[in-house]
Amino acid sequence: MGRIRRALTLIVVLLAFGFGIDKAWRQPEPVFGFQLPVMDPPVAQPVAEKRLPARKKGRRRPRHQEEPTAVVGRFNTHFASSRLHVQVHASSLIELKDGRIRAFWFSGSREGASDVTINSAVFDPARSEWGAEQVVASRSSTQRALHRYVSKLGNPVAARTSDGALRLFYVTVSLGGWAGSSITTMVSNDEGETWSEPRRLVTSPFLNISTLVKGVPFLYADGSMGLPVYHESFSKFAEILHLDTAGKVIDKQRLARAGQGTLQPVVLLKSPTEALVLTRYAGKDNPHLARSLTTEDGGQHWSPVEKSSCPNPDAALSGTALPDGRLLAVLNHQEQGRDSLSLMLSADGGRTWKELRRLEEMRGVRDKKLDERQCLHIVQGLLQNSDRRLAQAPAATLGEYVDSAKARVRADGGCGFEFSYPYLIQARNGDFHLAYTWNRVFIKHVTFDQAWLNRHLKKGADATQH
Amino acid sequence: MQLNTDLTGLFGVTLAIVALLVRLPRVQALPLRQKAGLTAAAIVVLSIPLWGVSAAGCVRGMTGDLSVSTVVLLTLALLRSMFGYALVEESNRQGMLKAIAVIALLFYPFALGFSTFDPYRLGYGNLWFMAALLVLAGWASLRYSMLLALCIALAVAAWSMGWYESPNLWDYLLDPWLALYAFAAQIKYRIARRREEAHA
Repeated sequence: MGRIRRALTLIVVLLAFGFGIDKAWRQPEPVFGFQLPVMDPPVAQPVAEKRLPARKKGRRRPRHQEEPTAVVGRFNTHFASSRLHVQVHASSLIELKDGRIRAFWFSGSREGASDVTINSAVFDPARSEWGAEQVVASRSSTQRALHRYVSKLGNPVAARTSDGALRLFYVTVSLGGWAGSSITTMVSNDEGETWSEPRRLVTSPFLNISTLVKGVPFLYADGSMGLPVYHESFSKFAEILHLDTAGKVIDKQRLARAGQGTLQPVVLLKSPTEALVLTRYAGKDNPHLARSLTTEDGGQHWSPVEKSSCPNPDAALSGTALPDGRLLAVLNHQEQGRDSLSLMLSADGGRTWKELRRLEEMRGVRDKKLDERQCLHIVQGLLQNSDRRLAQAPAATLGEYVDSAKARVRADGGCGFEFSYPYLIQARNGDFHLAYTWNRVFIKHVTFDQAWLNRHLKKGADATQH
Repeated sequence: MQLNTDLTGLFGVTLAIVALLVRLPRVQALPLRQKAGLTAAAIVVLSIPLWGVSAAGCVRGMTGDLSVSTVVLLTLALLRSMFGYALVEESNRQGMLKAIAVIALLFYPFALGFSTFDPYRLGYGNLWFMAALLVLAGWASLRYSMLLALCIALAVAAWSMGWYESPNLWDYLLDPWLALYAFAAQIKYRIARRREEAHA
């Protein structure tokens, strides 16, 4: 009897492995080598004059503003989000087929609240303005589609698939904090107007928890997608998910082991075989520097983790490679705090970086004991300088914006600023678009063109090297 | 072949809840017909969506999908609770749990970042990993635990059919709940053995 049962078991084993090996055999091997973004041929870009800032007579012009008549290329700033009295964070951008830019971010009463939704809006470069916000995903719509309880939503990141669709990845949590995250994805075939039912990616063997997205996705040579992700439950480390054209995970690469403090990897594609990864540093070593690693074989193998020359206050960074091989990055150029934001350039593949432009700078008020009136006066100035519409808005509208920002800026009774979670892309026409969290109350959008960048590159010769 | 992976996932979670329910002493004391009725009622209640998600879906959000090995053990436990006899002898089951405990002990630290080597990566259809599993299942079916061999075989078959939403074979073989149960069973077994030896 025992022998018969053993023989029957063996037959079941052989049959099952017949199916299993057949599937494994037919499954295509992951292909490496990068597909570089396609840029339009360069055309003469119209150069604009810097707009006149709204200011009162006799008041000094803010330090970072240009002389109004100088030809400086295009550099504009707007707020992409428009809801007031909410917290917003973790924006990402994607260029649409018609050249418009779509942004995504999460928005709700506070980070991690059950009313947080994934919101989106579209920027029209021709009119230089953002459209109305729309809700793309909510906790209830997500949990209904996933047939499982979902307690909160987080970081959305959008990607263009090789077949031309938009794919949105966003973080969902069922239990606990962000360490309990998993990634949910959905597809749009109409440039983000409507979306498919969300599906969950399974990326971790431990209850599928603790995989989050932040970095810009990229394509491999065969059209499969690389999705930079990170793990942060038992330990923190960066990974890259390899997804096939249908969005199924076919491979996963660990870029660093636990204990190296690498979070939120950003992949900068230098050539079809070379790339640099920069990561947020969440460790305890001093000086607190962003980490980096490289590949020279299209992402098949990655170098050991190294310290980069960029300081990092345990905060997200972003970057992109220019077609000429130089690298741009946006980060908090400080070891503590997030109250400044800088545009950085590397001309030597990421070994050294120099600061091209300080996009935000509020370190000066950090230790000053400002009362509410003084603080809100600063906030009002920043709001007006950030968005032309606010510079021309009626006092009541501006007051609403100031009031909305007050809850965060004055959260600890002082006057604290946060400029974080940058997300930088280059559009096909060569323009750069940057989105970041502005004090957790607005998503700020900065756009500049090649002429503006070239002007700063020339100026950058005397910039500080690191 | 692509199955509805939400149904299969919810099935595993519902099975786990029902298997635990019929283990309750009060339920075990009921006659078979009442036990079957209670089980059917529990399945219905667990499947009704309230505010967009069913009770089984709520649990699934926290537990994740259960591995095929767990589903096999739960099925055996449910049948035992319902009909009162074990389909698999205890030594066979203990052998399987011992192997699961050893595999989990080796697997999870590396899969969760102990080094740059990630064994979870092997689960995306690596042929060498598949070959190693075949050897293990063949050896287990002839010399060790037929239950272990069957669990591996059913996990591989389910993976090849796309039974769950996971494309990774490890998620069909093992889950943290099974690993915890296997560790607990090993500890309980060793304590019982020591007590027996002490009495002898």
